[in-house]
Amino acid sequence: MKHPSIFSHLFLISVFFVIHGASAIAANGTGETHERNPETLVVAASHSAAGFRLPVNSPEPVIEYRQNITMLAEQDLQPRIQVFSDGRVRVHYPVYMKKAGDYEFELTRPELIQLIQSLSANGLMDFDHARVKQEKNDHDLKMKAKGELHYVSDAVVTLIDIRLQDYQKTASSPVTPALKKHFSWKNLEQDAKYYKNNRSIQSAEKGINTLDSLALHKAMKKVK
Amino acid sequence: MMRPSAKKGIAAAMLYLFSTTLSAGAYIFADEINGVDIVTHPNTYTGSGGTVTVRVCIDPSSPNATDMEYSVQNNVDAYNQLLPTMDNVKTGGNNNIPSGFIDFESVALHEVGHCLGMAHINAATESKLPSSKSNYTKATNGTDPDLDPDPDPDKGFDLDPGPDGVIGSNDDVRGNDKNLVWFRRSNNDPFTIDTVIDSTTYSRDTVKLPTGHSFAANADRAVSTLLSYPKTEAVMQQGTFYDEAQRTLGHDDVATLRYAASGIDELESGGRGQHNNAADNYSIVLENGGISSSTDCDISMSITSTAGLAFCEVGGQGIGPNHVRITTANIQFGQDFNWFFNSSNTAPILNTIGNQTLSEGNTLVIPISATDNPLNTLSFSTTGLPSFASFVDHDDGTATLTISPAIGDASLSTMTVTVSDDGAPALSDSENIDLDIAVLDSDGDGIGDYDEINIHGTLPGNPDSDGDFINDGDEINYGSDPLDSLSWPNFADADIAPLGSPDGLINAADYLIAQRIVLGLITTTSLELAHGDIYPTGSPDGVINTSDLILILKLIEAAP
Repeated sequence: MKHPSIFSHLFLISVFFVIHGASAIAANGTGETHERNPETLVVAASHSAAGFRLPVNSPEPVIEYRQNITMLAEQDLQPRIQVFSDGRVRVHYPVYMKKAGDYEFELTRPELIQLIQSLSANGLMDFDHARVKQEKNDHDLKMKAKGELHYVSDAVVTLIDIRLQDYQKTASSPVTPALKKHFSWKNLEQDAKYYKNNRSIQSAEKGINTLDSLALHKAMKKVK
Repeated sequence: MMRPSAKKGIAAAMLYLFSTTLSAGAYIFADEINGVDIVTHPNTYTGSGGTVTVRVCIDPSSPNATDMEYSVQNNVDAYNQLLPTMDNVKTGGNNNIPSGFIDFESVALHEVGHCLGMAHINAATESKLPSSKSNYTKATNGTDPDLDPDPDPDKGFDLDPGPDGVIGSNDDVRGNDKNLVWFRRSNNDPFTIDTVIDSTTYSRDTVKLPTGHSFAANADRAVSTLLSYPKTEAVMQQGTFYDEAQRTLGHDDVATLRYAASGIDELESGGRGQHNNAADNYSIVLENGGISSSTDCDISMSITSTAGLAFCEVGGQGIGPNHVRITTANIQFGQDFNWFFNSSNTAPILNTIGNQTLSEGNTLVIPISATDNPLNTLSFSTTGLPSFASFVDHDDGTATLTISPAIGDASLSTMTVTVSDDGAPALSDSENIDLDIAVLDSDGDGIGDYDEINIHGTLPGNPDSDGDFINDGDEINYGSDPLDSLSWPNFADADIAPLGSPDGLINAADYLIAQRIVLGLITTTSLELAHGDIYPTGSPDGVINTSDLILILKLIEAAP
């Protein structure tokens, strides 16, 4: 929760979305069109950006981002950000943090779409834990062969849950009808600094920075 | 291009790392890949003994740098003193931390421990276990797979708290998990410490556990409660609460550092093998480098934008079979947290002494001690110390009060014991103690030995100095001469039974005895005369006769 907002730099979304009226029509990057539920936000994939479908009034967050600070033994040990499909964002800071309390604000639809597409572009939806862990181990073994060991105490575990319908990474990617991605990584911040050549870790860190920037949104107001 | 000698050195170091010689436990870098037996040493240790100096600095660019100074000095003191403490978890009103704040000093003490080579004693974050299970003793998950990312909630560990239901205790059932925490071989009690700390007294190998124990216990606060100790926890247990101070080391922390300090051979006094003497033993000295970015800082601390609460990031290098030394170390604290910076000295606490009671001629030795947080140099003093007492300050945080009253010292007095620290400002704690020195009455006649010898001339070891069957105390109290067998008091209370030992009651038994005396069946002694010669009233005539018998009868009738 430390990087400037990316939302001050809105870029041209290469797909279009539709969410109005009983006969909402969405078009994906292939040009195919679909008739959708009026309460559904539909974003079509392009050659470089993700497509997905969101039931707008779902009570379940589309994105839930938590940091498990297990150096603490508190019951409430997770600062968290929840993003809902209607654009609402809830931010919670535990009592022992400077910003302790609950905050809310709303993302505009372009901001919401950009956020989801940014996470997709940074590989969080298809992050392969086993592969990246193996890559880390391989790197560690190489370093060990050079006589160098590395250790970070008291890690933070970054946890992200993403729920999307009809997720498509790009227009040429297969469609995942019900994406439920659970991302869990220990020491992501430190790993990004140590494993500088690991593209998956570097990208994931960028995705986390995007989520962190939500907590700096100018519309955020304390509600509790 | 790497020089051949350097390559050879690295190769040797890696050979060291993968050796399987058994050694000790909970050190960073110890795992299934590097080797479970790795012992990690501070960064200036290279295998040769002596003093290992570690310089701790605060990054000048860090926010709150000056706020951190006091706590860093306290950290340095704690590691230099290496004193194992109990009752080191201070919560709520027992600390000076505002509610909702996290104690910087306590967290820094933990992170410095990592930077010196110590790992968590519990499974902690690195296990990726849920917090409800993270207090199991640190171990590997053995041969079980850790299925990423999260299909297995136990991450391949075997977790059963055993019959006592307490996680981290000595009866945990851990299947093929491989223990990483060394333990005291004699008792597997992490709240105690041996005098010698090396591979002869400590082990990581669960085969060497005491009989009946199934796994290494860890110094978690719940385990201390299970073992009936005051709430105590090793500093290297991961998991702190806000509004909680833990500023002094536990037995387990001290033992871990001292085990590493036994050197490459892991023997305090030398042993067999390549490192066949104590020349590889070392002692750790931390230096406070202050706010400095000097290159001679071995550990650098700063508050940064890191998302976590705090962490120590270290590099390591092999220096011997299963031995690694730290090469780089820095600590970061998250800026988003409510840090409490301990900035003022707190008074030492004198452990309760209590009022003391003893008799003349006896000796009482009372050990005096105090706790101090932060731990400063303590000195003890007294006021009102009586002449029969002495007080010695041992200059090690303890003192001894010895009370030896001689005969004649019976008295009630009050003295004060004070403990003072040398903090800034210097603070102290005192206790007023009542000394109740009782009279020594060796023969139990109601007159103290001192008075018997020096005032009455009676025998302190014989309650009836003149042999007239009336004890000396009674004679003195009733005005007769305790040294004249023909002088006795006139109690005139008619209590003459049982014969020779009146029972304090006036009843028919007294009358019957008196009747037999009158009939000449019993010869009177001074005891019977003192009690039974009641006629004439106020001026007895020296015999017990029918006149006395009549008065005795009247007294019995009047008795309740």
